[in-house]
Amino acid sequence: MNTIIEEESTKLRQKPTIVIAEDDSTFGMLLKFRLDEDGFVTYIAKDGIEALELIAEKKPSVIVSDIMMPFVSGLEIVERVRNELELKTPFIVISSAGQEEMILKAFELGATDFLSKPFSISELLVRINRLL
Amino acid sequence: MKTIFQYIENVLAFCYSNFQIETWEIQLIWICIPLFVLLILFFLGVLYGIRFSHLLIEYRNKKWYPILQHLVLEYLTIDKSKIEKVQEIKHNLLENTKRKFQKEISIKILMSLANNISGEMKTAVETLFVELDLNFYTVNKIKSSSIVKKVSGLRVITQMNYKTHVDKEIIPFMNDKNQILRGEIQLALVKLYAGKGLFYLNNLAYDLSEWHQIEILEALTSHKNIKIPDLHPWLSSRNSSVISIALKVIEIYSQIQYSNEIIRLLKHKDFIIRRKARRLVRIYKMIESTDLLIQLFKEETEEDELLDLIETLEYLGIEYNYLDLDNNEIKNIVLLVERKKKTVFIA
Repeated sequence: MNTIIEEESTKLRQKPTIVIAEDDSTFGMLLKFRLDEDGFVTYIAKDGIEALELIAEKKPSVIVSDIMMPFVSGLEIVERVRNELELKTPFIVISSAGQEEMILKAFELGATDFLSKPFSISELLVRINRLL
Repeated sequence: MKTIFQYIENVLAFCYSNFQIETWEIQLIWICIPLFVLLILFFLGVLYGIRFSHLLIEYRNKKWYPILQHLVLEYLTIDKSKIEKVQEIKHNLLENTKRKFQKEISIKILMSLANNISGEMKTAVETLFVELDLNFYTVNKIKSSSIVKKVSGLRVITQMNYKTHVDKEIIPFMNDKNQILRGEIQLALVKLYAGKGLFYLNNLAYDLSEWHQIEILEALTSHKNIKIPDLHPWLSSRNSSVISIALKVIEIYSQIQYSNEIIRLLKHKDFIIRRKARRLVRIYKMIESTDLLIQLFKEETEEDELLDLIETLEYLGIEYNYLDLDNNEIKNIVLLVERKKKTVFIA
């Protein structure tokens, strides 16, 4: 029994971990379904506070966050990940159309890449794999 | 039990005997009191009913949203080669989207996905919308007499890019007196049919607001490789907002072949159209408009218009002489502007 648990945890350790911060539960779940299928271990946060807690706890391989998030915005998450948590984890911000200024701000704060909604999930996968 | 009835009967008899001997004002008050109590009870009943229906919706959402969400996401992400599993999920989905509230929840889930994704997955969402017969449910909403239902149905149909049988349902309302409804329909036509959807500009009964023009153009530009319709009829329209949107289409899609029409519009009676035409003259450096611009410069009597004309003349490198101006008051303004420019230049 212990061997099985150890094997499973080793497998989990080997899989890249992704934290997704997305307040739209359906869309967040779709990303999780799709990324899990592609061999990632995905955690979903419904607001900025939950996202920061998950990032601090899981130390993911990639962070994907929507800019417009309740309580703590995507921009603030980037800032706190870089300055408070001092993590260099690749960070992809997701923006809606017409948020060009926010994207620039996110890059200034330390974001690695961005995607504009609506986007193709295959494109997200390509970007995640490129950053890993 | 009998005593209770007797007691009530006695009380009523006592009240009635007293009621009869009272003056008419007191009698009226006695009649009003029970009516007032009944009215309060009626309103309490209505409020309770509203609250109950809200609680019911909340309960159903809480129970069914996760179930349907899981089924939809499982169906969309499953490996389609697992035919049996796919059929099983689809059967479950069809079984669980029979009731009205289940359809509403499913639409909400699909809309949320369609808003955020593109590519193959978006097409899969649109296909699922039809497979679950949600298209008929939504088209029926558009047929409803309620404007709120019509508008909500339109938004769903547009987002799901569903075109079958939609045009004949919405075209009759494209000039509806309700601004919100006709605005949504005009927008939906462009979102669904791109440039072809703009046909309503040929016969527009009301003006398009500046904001609505921006929305329509945004919807138009979201389509790739569109065929621009013939703009001649719109550039000659009696409705200024139609000309305005046609000029914006010219600017966005660089439709330089309409230069003659643009120059003609420099004399349009509406100053907004004149200003937009001058903007295009500047953008495309239409030197052929020189004679007309000089003529308009000489005749102009409005300060703002004159300044914009001067800007156009200077941009095109056309020489003008303020002494040619007919109106002395305007001549003074131009002189002041000229002097100010020189001061700035020297400084």
